[in-house]
Amino acid sequence: MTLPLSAYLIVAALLFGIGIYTVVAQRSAVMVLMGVELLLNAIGLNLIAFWRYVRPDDYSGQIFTILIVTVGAIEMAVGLAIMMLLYRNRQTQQVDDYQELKG
Amino acid sequence: MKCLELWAVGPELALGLMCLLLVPLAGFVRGKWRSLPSIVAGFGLTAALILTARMLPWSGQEVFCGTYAVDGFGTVFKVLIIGSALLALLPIAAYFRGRDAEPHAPVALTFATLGGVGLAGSLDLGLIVLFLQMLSTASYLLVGMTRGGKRANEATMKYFIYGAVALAVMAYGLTFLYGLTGSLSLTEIGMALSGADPVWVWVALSLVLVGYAFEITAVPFQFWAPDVYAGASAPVTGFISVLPKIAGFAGLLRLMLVAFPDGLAGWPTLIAVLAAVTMALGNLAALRQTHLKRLLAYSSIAQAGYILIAVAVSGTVDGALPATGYYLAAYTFMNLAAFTVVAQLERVSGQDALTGLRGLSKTAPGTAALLTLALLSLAGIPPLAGFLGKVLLLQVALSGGLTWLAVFAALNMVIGLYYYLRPVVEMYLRAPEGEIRLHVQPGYPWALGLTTLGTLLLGLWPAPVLALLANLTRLLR
Repeated sequence: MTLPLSAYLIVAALLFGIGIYTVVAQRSAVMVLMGVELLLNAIGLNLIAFWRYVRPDDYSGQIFTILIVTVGAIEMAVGLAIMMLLYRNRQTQQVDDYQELKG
Repeated sequence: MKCLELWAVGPELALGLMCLLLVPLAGFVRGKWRSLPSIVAGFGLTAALILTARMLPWSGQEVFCGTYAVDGFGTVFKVLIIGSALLALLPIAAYFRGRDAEPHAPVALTFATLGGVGLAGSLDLGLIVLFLQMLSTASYLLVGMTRGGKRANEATMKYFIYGAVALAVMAYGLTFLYGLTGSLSLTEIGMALSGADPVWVWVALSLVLVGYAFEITAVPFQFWAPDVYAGASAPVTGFISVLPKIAGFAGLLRLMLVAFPDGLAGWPTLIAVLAAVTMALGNLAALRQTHLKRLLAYSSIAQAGYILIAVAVSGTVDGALPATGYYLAAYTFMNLAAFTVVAQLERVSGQDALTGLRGLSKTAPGTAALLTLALLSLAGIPPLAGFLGKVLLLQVALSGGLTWLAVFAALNMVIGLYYYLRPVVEMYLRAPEGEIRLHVQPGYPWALGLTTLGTLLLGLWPAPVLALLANLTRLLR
């Protein structure tokens, strides 16, 4: 028994939705980073599903997935470095504490 | 070995080698050697600019197995990107002189430049994602490098979170383009997409637009711009208001014209509506600003709206691509000139309020005159570059049948006049509140001189530039 393509796409869409919700609703910057990671995993799942069902003979979809994983790693490295910098200067990583810039 | 046409990526190789050289160099330099990375970056960017200019007459072809384009379109955009990086480097190097980040700022700047240059040539979804990330990540770091102020920290965090989410949403949209066509190449996607389910094409299009709308600060993904522009230091703001925007327009135009041929999924209408909303919101919000960087942030949103007019008709009108290129060049010159003056003020006083400009025409008449010139050009006063740019944009809108948009844009330009003149009024007509001091470094006059020269030359003698920009129409598709 094989699952249809849409099953994978729905799981990916759910992951993506949870990721967006995390980014919007979480108040801690580290949790926001986790949300971004979920978004990237949804993209990876989508790509692998499309590769398997649409073009299994061509490996470029796999390469794109590896690229997305790499992008996620870079994003986490830079993101955590930025959070560290913020924490050192302000002793908080709650996003609500950063509202000086307005207008 | 096929697919390894290294001769076609000379500028990219030069920039990449320079980045790899600068990373260790920035870590080692001490004392008076701390300005060395800026000098190296300046020479490297100049070399890359010369290498790119040599490629202008080349005929278009796909290299690296069809993933990278060498064509007139990409080459002109690369010239614009590297040139604007070079112009932005001057005030950045001058501003950071003697600060902690002095050796590091040029490193982030060259990485962002390499990302932008790569984006202008990418024909492959993977490369687009990679180069967009390279451009954005380096820009986040550049914003964060500002002296440990709270405002800069907040700006970095906002820029990073908005950017990471916008680019993830865009990559999610790109996966649907892959799923619908089974290919990562823009040319193959363009051939296969017209047979795909229009609903899914539209979903993919709107998701992909999110990422580009973030880069070019188009509504509804412009929220980050005013806060980030206000929190970053002025010369860095100048850089991020110019370079990601040029690269974003290059990527957007290539994607739309190659992967969505013949106005597939109604993208010209969508972009035209985005253009109208973007310019209206930017102009109306700019009216009530009291700080220069924030005013220029909303002004840059409005300017992005004007340029989107030409994007909307780029598929049908021949002159649309040269008009986009001309306006982006003019925008680079006038915007960088304005931000250079703001940098000189901000480095000494630490703030950028409009009232801080009072009496500038007495203390520094030359600087005040050049800032006035830049603002008048942004407002579109003849005979400056901004005027001819706006005329070209309105012209292509009319020949593309978007009369309503042309009328709407003309009205917006009238509103713009009001807020561009406010700093001028403060400089010339109000009595000074206290002594104004400007940061003095040789980088500022060079930057101001070159950008003003550009603004004047583009406006008064546009023929050679327009001849150069005609290369933009040579787009591989």
